[in-house]
Amino acid sequence: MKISKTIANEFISDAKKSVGNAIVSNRDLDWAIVQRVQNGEVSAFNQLVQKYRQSLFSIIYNMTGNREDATDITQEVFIKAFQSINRFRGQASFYTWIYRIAVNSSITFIKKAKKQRFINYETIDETLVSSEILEYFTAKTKTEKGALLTELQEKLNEALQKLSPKHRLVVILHEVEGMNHKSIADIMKTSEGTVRSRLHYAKKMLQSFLQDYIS
Amino acid sequence: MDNKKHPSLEDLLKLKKAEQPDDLFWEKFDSKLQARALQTFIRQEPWYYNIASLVNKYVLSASMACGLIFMLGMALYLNLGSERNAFLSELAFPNEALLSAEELVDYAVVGNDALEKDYAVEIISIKGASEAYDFEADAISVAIGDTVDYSDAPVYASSDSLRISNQYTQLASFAF
Repeated sequence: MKISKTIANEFISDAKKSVGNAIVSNRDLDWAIVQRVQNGEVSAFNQLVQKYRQSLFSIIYNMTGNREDATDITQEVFIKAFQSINRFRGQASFYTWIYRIAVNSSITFIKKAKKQRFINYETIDETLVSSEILEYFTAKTKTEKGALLTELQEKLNEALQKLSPKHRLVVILHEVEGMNHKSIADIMKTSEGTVRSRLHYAKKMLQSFLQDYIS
Repeated sequence: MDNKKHPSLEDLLKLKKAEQPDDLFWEKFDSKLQARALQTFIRQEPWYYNIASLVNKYVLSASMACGLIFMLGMALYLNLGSERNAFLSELAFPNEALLSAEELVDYAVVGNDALEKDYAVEIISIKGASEAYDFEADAISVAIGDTVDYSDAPVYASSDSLRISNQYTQLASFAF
């Protein structure tokens, strides 16, 4: 029993090290690409675009609720990052830096957009849908399933748009993107406590908006 | 809906993660981003360049307008000046060849108080007579040049037959 515990502990520490190394190497990898861009290898920036475009688009799309706006803002984020890349000194990770640009751009856009834009939604990739949701649809026919998914998407988007930009952002970063409180706090330049508080309040609000659709 | 089968809020939020654009979207995204990035390479003129170009444009237009006004003014001034000089020189040194003996006498007559009243009476009578006449251009008789008959029949400008039949008549009607 003791041996097995020791082995388990060793395994866990190794795993932690490898995860840590992976994080460090990921950050270092980004920094290496940034340095290449800063030294004039402009095409290297495309690697950063390929790496972050999907998650940045996802955040911005969920913030704005509009595909066209999200496309424009995501492109603007990359252009801003490219234009300011010489000012990036590697003190924070590139990941935090570019997410901060995305978050600020989204909030600025939402504040500027006076009228409510048309909310649309992307097609759901069913391979990414959680087993709980799939279980919910098991008894339904294909038509019923499609209609229900669309309805859920609509209601969820509507509920998210009812939240304030800061509360919406915390929910998106934590629940959709799976970020931890520390990363969110770094991106939003706030404390972890504030992030937790905002997340708690936002989820409470969402539960009240979606009470007919969730357990 | 059966409550037992309802998903949790967290599960529902994971639906958002599953909302993914297709590959075609990313292809368009990349090409559009590339185009926008290339636009940033185009060197933008500094802000003062636009002001300078605007100033240049307006200064050029204004200077051209000023030049034109100056030239017109000068031309007018010189023209008036020459007329005035001629008039003054005529006053100062009257051309005696132009002044006939009668005119000299007229000057003398104008100076006569007794005759001034007569001039005034003449002017009034001429004005009164001019109002009495009724000029009718269409009814004025013209001479027809190439005919033996110097007819004084009236020519009507609206008469097509006359215009066609005689070119001189036509010319006469145009003249009026």
